[in-house]
Amino acid sequence: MNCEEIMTLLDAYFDNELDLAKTIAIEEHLRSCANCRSQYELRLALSDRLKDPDLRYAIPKDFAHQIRKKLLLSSRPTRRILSFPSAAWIPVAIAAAAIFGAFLYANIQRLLPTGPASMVAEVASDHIRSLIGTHLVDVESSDQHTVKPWFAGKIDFSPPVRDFADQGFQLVGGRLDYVRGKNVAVLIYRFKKHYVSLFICRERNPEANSKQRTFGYQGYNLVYWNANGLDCWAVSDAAPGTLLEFAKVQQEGHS
Amino acid sequence: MMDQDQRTRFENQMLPLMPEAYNLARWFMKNEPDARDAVQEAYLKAFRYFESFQGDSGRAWLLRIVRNVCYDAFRAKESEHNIISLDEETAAEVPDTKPGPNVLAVQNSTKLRIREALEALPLEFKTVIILREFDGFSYKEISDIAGVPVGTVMSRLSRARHQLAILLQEEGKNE
Repeated sequence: MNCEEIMTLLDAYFDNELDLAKTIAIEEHLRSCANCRSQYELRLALSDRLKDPDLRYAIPKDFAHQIRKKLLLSSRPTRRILSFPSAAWIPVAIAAAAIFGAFLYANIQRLLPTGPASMVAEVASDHIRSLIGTHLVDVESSDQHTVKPWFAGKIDFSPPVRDFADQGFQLVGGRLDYVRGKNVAVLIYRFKKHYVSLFICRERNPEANSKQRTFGYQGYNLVYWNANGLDCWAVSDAAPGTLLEFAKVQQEGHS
Repeated sequence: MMDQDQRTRFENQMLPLMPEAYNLARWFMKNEPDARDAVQEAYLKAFRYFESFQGDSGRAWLLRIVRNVCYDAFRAKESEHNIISLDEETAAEVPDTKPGPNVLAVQNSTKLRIREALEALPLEFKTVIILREFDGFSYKEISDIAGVPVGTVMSRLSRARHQLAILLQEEGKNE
C-alpha cells in the first residue's frame, strides 16, 4: 500500500475496524514511513487529550429526578389515576433512587417494606433527598394562588395551600412527589433556616386512627395528622416544638 | 400500556445511560436548557417506543433517539434564524458566549483550546468524535446512530480528526 491508501484507512486502523490482513499491512508501512507514522501519532495524542473527563458534561444534579418524574406522569392513563395498580411504580422509584445514589433511600425500601414505619421513613428520606438533590420545589412561589392551581391535573385532589409567614412559616413553593405508590403534593415552608416539607395525600385507610402523632427519624422530626380526608405529614430538622406549632398552625388555618 | 417486565427492562437498560445521553445532547445543543429538553424528550420517546426495541444495544438505540431529537431541535432553531445551513460542507457554528480564554487561568488554556476546537466542529463531525472517542462506539453502531453509511462515518471521523490535529500541531509550535 502506498501512503495515500494508508491515509484513507488510517482512522479505521486506529479504531480497530480493519481486518487482520490490512492491519498487518498498515503496521508494516508505519514502521518504515515516518510521515504516516506522525499522522498516526497525532491521532494518539488527540485521543489522549479527548480522554480528559472535564470534556464530558455531567448530568445536572436534579435532572435524573426530573426525568423519572416525567416518565411517571407520561405513562399514566389519565382517566384511571385512582385505579392504577400502584405497585407497578415502585421499581421506577427504586431505579431513580439508585441514580441519585440515594443509598439510604434504597435501603429503607428494602428494610421496611410495609407499615406506618415505612411511611415515616419514606417521607423523611424524600425530604432529605429533596434537600440534597437541590430539587426542593417544582413551583416556586410564596403565593398560594400560584402554588395551589399548579397541582391541578397532577394529583387527584386539591391540596390546601396557605402561606403562614405571619406565624413564621413562609411558603416557598410546591413539589410533586411520589411516596408509597402514589403521587403526593408537597408544600415547602421555611422556618428561619429550616425547611419544612408538608406531604399531603389522600388518606389510605379511613378507619385508621387519625389522631395526631409524632415520629423521629434519623435526626428529623415528623408530625402526622389527618384533616378533611387528607393525610398530612410534616417533616423537618427543626425542633419538635416548632414542628408541632407548624401542625397546629396548619390545622387551625384550614379549619 | 407497558407490562411490568418491560417497564423494569426500560429502567434497567435506559436510565443508567443518562450520562452519555446528556453529554451528547449537551455538546450538540450547546447549552444546558436545550440539552435538558432534548434528553427529556428523547427519554419520553424511548419510553413510548420501547416495546418496539428488539435489538441488543440499548445504548445505540437510545443515543440514536437522542441524536435525532437534537438534530430536529437544532434544525428547528436554525430555520427560525434562517441563516446557518446544517450542510456538512458549509456548516458553521454560532460561537458560544462564554468567557474568553484570556479571563481564565493560563494552565487551563490547552484544555480550553481542545474544548473550543471540538465545539467549533461542524455538527456531524462533532457527533462522530463524541460517539467514537467519548463513548467508544464501533463504526457500525455510529452508522446506526447517525443514520449514515459506515464509509461516511469513517470519512467524517478522519476529517474531524484532521481538523482537531491541525489545532494540536499549531499549539505544539506555539509552546
